[in-house]
Amino acid sequence: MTATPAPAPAPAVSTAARWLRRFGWRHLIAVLAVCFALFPLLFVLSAALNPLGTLQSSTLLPRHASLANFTALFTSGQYPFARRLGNTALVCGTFAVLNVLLGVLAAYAFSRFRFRGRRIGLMAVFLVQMFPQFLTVISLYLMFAKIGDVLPAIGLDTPWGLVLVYLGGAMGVNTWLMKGYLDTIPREIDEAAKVDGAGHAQIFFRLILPLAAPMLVVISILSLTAALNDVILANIFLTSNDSKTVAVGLYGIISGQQDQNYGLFAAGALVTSLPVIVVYQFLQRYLAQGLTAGSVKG
Amino acid sequence: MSAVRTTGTAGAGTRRGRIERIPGFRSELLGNERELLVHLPPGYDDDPGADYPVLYLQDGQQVFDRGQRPTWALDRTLEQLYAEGLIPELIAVGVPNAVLSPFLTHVDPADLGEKVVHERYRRRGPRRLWLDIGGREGLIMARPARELAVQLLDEAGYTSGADLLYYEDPAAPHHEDAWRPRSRHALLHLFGAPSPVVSLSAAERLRLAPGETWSAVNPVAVRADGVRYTALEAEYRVERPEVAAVSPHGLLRPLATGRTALTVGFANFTAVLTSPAIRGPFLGVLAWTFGFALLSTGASFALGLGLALTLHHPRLRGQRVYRSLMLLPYAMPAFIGILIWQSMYYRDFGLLNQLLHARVDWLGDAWNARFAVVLTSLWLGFPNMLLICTGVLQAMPAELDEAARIDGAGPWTAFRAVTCPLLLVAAAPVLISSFAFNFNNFNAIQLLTGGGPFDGAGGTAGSTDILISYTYRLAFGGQGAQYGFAAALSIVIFLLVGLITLVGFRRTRALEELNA
Repeated sequence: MTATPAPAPAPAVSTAARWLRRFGWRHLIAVLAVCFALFPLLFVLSAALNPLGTLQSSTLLPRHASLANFTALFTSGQYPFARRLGNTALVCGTFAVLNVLLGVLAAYAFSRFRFRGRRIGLMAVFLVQMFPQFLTVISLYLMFAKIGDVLPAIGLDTPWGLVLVYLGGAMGVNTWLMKGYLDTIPREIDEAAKVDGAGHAQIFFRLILPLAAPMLVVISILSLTAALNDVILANIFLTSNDSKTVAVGLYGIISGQQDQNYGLFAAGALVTSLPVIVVYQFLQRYLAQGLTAGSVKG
Repeated sequence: MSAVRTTGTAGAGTRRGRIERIPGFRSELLGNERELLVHLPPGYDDDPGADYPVLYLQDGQQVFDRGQRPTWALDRTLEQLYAEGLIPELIAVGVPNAVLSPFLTHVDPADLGEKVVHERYRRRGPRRLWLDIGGREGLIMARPARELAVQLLDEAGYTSGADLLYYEDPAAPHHEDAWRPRSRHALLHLFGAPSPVVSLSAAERLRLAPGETWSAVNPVAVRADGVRYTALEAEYRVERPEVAAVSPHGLLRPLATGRTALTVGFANFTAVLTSPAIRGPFLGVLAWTFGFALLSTGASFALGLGLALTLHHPRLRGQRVYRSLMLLPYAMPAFIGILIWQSMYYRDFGLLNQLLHARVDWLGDAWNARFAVVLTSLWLGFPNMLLICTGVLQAMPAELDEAARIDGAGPWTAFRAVTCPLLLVAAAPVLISSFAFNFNNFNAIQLLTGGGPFDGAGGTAGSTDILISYTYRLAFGGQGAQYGFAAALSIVIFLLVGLITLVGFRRTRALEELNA
């Protein structure tokens, strides 16, 4: 997929006019698109470096540079940002790992086994995800309040409880993506292993998991982002100030006092986004591959 | 009391307020004197300049816990509610009956109260009102209370479950011990935030003797905050209609001797399509939901595809750098991107107006706001499409294009006849799921416009509301949570999106590999 076709023989004369006609417009469009993609990010960077920290005084290009907002972010007692970053990493990380595991298990069954209800099951997994999850919030809340009476470790206001809630609503698309990918792994490999005496567990862990690694990466990234983006459920389930996540925290920083706290918000937004952006840059090849797998096979 | 809300802060941790006595308070009108009891909230001494709402309690000699029995212990209930952060602090004034005659308080709750409520609240229009009665206080008490509630609903414009809560506590006698827990419900309704209903049940047996003409069913709704009330606007199904009829207010009319079962539900599904007040906004919101999802997906795909084609040239330098930079909006957590855009749309010092040297009211005008949400979701969505289109283009054998060229096709024809169809087939599942995602893209609407702008006519649907943000407001919004209705709407959303997805997948034959 990365192999680009061999370049055509270079033309003998390459004038500037010709370059312009062939490549100039491409560069122009690309630069415009990059501007469109980047100017909000540039603005946030500038706002984060703006020592005044208000929206009113923020401009597209930074006029001053100071790290005041970043230090305020990590030292403010009102918004325990570092702690929330930790909570977020814990919730999102755990969720991503467990979600990938669940997704790949289900996908393996859907891809490799033939059983009654397979078709309906596959469809149901997908459709159930279309239900607006936050409307189940009431029942989930009540359920976890009760669970918390018996098993306080996974009750309300615990990261584990929230991870469980996320897991309940997140299997659909991932299972489909994963199944599409597993379908592209030739079944002869399984059969060869079976002949050699391997059981399903062995085939799954020793053969399929390593082969599906690119897709596992893609799904874990998608899960991670999905959990990171959640404001509603996290806000309802994590009730105490110390257990909240970054998404809820950042929203709280600017809701109501957008103007005054804008620098703080911008700094927090950058700190939160940076790791994700870096990961995406490294994995963009896998992402393109993973998202279209199953639809462009063979 | 209901155990729905578990509280860990009861007892020792609760900050106490204090009760002050004002002796010899004189009423010119009644010509008598009495002592007043005032409960000051825990925070009263922290800020001497603060304003508080004042709650007057008639028949007030037993409302506060001063060691006497029986007592309402309303001070304890208030302190508990303050500690849980469920109601704002307020000043409660107990007005005891005058010494000589119990009827010389201004209001006697049993009979004068009804008249006062009736007169005042009918004239002044709906406000939050709580009425309750115990099922064992006797029909002579229960029936007028129910009739008053029904009258307020029918004639004074009240809505059960929103501004008027009437509760018939089935087994409660006429006693302070029964009133004490109910006062928590009343306070939550009067001063707390609205809360969605989590259950509705009517498990009771009614037996009507021959000749008995008046009876009412008591379906009890329970809210998430534990408040219970009698659902006075419900929908009933009578198993044997020839035996009895039930009005929506729960009044039972016997028609013949016999037994029949009753099923109760909120009148929600039918309301979506039959009530004109709901149908109007619902259809508008539905249309915009489709518009928003189509425009967002279509624009993102068009831009993503255009850019992918632009960059798809073997000898174009820097294409990787371009792509990496264009991918940034996708890599950034969406809620952050949306919040950034939201701040850029501000009229006074938002970045967009700053750059355009304009004073466009981006989020205050209906069509501007619609444009703004689509533009933002284009920004959020096109990198994904670019990524996918690039992936498909690169996976496409170069010979295809070459073959078309050899057959004499120009670049446009080659694209239209060869590349485009292949690309569409490959991208179809992504397009469908992107449509479904935007159909329910709650964050994009809620964080950007909150569904607004609103037309000011007091409607609940805003100009940029999509079904899911509208539903959210109905379920958790400020003005009387209509959780049952919201739940019905969410089923409608689910069916719509499910149907679209199913049909879409069938048409693109993505389902065929299911049978492989």
